[in-house]
Order: sequence, then structure tokens, then C-alpha cells
Amino acid sequence: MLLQLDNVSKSFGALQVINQVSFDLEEGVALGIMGPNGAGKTTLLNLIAGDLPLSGGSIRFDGADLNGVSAEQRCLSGIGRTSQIPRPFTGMTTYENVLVGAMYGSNLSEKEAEETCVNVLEQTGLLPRWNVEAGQLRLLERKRLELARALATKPRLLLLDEIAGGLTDHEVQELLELIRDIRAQGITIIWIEHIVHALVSVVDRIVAIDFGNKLAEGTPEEVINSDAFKQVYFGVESVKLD
Amino acid sequence: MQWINTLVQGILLGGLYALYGTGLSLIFGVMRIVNLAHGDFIMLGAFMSLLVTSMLGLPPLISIAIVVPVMFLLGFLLQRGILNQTIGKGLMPPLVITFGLSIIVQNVLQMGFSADSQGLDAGALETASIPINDQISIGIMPLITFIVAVAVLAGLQLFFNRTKVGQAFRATSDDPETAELMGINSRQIYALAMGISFAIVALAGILLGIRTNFAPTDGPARLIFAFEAVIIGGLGSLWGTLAGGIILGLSQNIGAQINPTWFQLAGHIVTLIVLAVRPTGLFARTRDS
Repeated sequence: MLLQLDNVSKSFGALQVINQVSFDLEEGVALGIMGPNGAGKTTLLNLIAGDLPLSGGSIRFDGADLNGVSAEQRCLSGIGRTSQIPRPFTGMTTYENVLVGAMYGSNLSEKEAEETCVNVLEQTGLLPRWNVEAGQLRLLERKRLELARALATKPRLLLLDEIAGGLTDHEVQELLELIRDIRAQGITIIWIEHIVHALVSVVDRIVAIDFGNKLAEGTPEEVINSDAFKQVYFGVESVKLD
Repeated sequence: MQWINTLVQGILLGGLYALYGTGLSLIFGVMRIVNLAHGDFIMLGAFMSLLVTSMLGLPPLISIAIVVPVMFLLGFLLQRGILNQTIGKGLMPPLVITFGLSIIVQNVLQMGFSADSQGLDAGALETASIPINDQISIGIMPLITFIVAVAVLAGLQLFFNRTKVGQAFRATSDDPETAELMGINSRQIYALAMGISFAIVALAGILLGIRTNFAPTDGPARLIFAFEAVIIGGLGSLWGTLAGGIILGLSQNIGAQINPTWFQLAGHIVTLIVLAVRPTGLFARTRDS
């Protein structure tokens, strides 16, 4: 197992945001996380990436307990993530953004990192924009840069936080191609997404959560057809979907 | 002719102010901390040099080789041990801590060196100058200070743009959380930044000490000059700080030329005008879009 969540809980004061969520993830699998707004999806990602400390339970990555391991050490051990709202280093060029990820995330010298950067920029289609200040990039390009930067850290597990949000249908399709490409590289993916058709077209498995509780887990068909999921998403017990 | 001399001296004085301001600006730029003890650390650098020169009998300029590394280490440890604990807890804790440090440094210096003014003895170098004509001569020390300031700024620019650690500095100052997701240890970067700030401050303190007398309680006045150079030049702009320092030095010297008591006043007035007309500073590079 690459990633194991065991009874993971997170509370902010009296507010229980994640309540004893457990699931395992094998290497090479793409997992989608679904749930309504405020279900705790991004919090779950933050717990895995190390932006927030756990309140209970444990997370193991490649067999090692992540408790007390800082965000930057998790990055070094192979966990990469993208932010929901792209956060490029706006004062640096596209290339420099990726360079930072490559140099620090996979511990390379500037010279060694060059090749990684060019490859990643090419894969994400940003090569023509390499020398543009990241603050000048358009939304789709910023999303691509989020991916490029995360890829430059050579992740084994890539956490995607609503990467398709705010894009047009056409743009979503372009991004999907890229994500499929990343998957084909053998990188394990956890993807939070509201755009269900996009998510379902890529992932092998889905975990549905609501109010911090795990509702259902299984293949996309199993989860979408499960009663618990319909109850939350459509407010009905059981409707036959085709 | 008298006026040309005033302008030349003002520009050279700007080099010293740029050294004051650079460390302050660097710290604010990288971790959004205002170091209220900045001026006192300038004095600490000067007194440390006094200690080294009197104990080892070295010339003050040579003491740089000892004082600058020691101050770098001190800054590094201060950030590591104390100030890093306050990161992410708002503006107030670092303000209170550095305010406290300011008082501590002043009192420790008074205990160790008494409240009297001291000077670093650089021999003939202190008053040496290059005569240009009857009325204008360029002091060697102000000239050295100016050259050092330009060299420090050029060095920093190269460091930020050309080195791996420099890239991490820029990334961290832009967005520390995202930088950590890229595998950068931001606390280590903060400690390095404080170390570099202290090293620059030590240089400034020693150069100041050779030019003029100094006392343990001079720090806050130096802090004001550092602030003014940064405010005029604009935060986050290295060469802006030099320009800010030069404008401050020029205003002070021109003010003093008009009326000897207007030295500081003229600098304050120019700073206020810049704050009113262009609060981001004259050469600010605004990064937040």
C-alpha cells in the first residue's frame, strides 16, 4: 500500500471536520474524492500533505507514519499537491517556478534540474510560456503550472485539489488529457473534484465523504449508485440512474 | 562649489543608509517581520568590532573578517531559536520580541562599554581624502562605505537570481506555504535571511564606527534612518534601497547646508512627502497582483 489512512480525524475546536476516515491506496491507482461543499475534502488533502496536523488516527505513506513529518519533508518523500486556487510564485517566471520545485522537491542542483524542468514544461504544454512572469499567466496556464510544479518535485503520490474548477468545458478536456498522461506515467493520484464527469472519466475508485464521514467507497459506478451517495447528493433514497 | 560638495557627500552618505536599510528590507520582504532592534544590532556590530580591535589589536577593517561571521551566526540562531516560534502568529509577537531585544542590547552594551561615546581607531584612514579641487574632497571612508554598499547589493542580486538558495528565498517570500509544498524548509530560509541581515548590519556598524563616534543608545536613531531609506526606495527593491539611501543622504546634507539644525528634519520631511505621494516608495516592485 502506498498510502494508508487509519481512522483519520480532524477537529477545529468543537467542530469535527473529518471523522474517523479510513482508506487504503495502492500504488498506481487514481482515487477520486467526492462530497458536497464543506464535506471536508480539502481538509483531508491538507492532512495528507501535512499543511494541518491530525487530531486523531494515523496516515502512513509507503509504510512510514507521517505523524510529525513536516510538509516539506512529505514533499521530499514523494507527496506533491496542487492548490484549488492556483498559487504561482507571481514574481518569478514560469521556468523559475518549476525550477524551484525541481531543485528542492527532488533535491537537484540547478544544472541537474534543467532537464526535469524542460520535460515537465513540455508535458504540461507550458514550454512556449517558459519565460513569462507567472503572474501574467491565464487561468488554464496557472492550473497547468500547478501541475508542472508538483510534477517537478517527482511525486509518487499527486494530490489534486479541484484542478478543473473554473475552467470551460473545452479547457477541462485539455486538462483531462494531461491528467491521464500523468496517470499513465504510473503516478498515484488523489483527486478532489466537483465536476463529476471529469472525475469519473479518469479515476479507478471513488471515496465519497459528507460532514467528515466516509459515506461510500468503490468503483465510480458503485459509489454513484449507492443509496448513501444519492441521499446526500440528490436528497432521495434511491433513484435508478442510467 | 560648496553645493557640489554637499551633493557629493550626501550621495556617499547614502551608501551607509543603504546598508542600514538593506537588512531591514530583506527581513520584511522574506518573512514580513519588522525588526525593531535593527538599529541596536548595528550598534552591536560596532561594539563587537571595538572589542575585537582592542583585544587583538587588529585594525577595524580587518575585524570585519571576525565580526561579520559572528553576527551572521547570531542572527541565524536568533531566528532559529526565538523568532521562528512567532511565524504565523500575526504581526504583534515579533514586534514585541524585537522591541524587547532592542532594550536588552542597549543595556548589555551600556553594562559592557559604559554609556560614553566610543570610536573605532582606523588611524589615518579616518580622515584621509582624495582632493578634487580647493573646495571638494572625497573622504576615503565614505567612498569605501559607498563601494561596499554597491558590492553588497550586487552580491545579493546575484545570490537571489543565480543560486539555488536564492531562488528558494524568492519563492518563500512570495508564498511560504506553497514553497514548503515544493520541499523548501522555510524556517531554514528565514534563519539564513536573518543571518544575512545581521552580516550586513555588522558591516554597516563597523563602517559607521570608523567614520564617527557611537554610543550604546544610538540604535533607535539608526533604525529611523534605515526605515526612511526603505520607505523612500520602496520595499522589495534592492537598488531602490540604495536610491532611497542616497535621497535621504542628499536631503539631510542639503537641509544642513541651509541650516545646520535641519540635518535630520530634512530627511524626515522628504520621507513624509514620499509616504504621502507614493506610499509604496519610489522604486517599489509590487508583486502582489
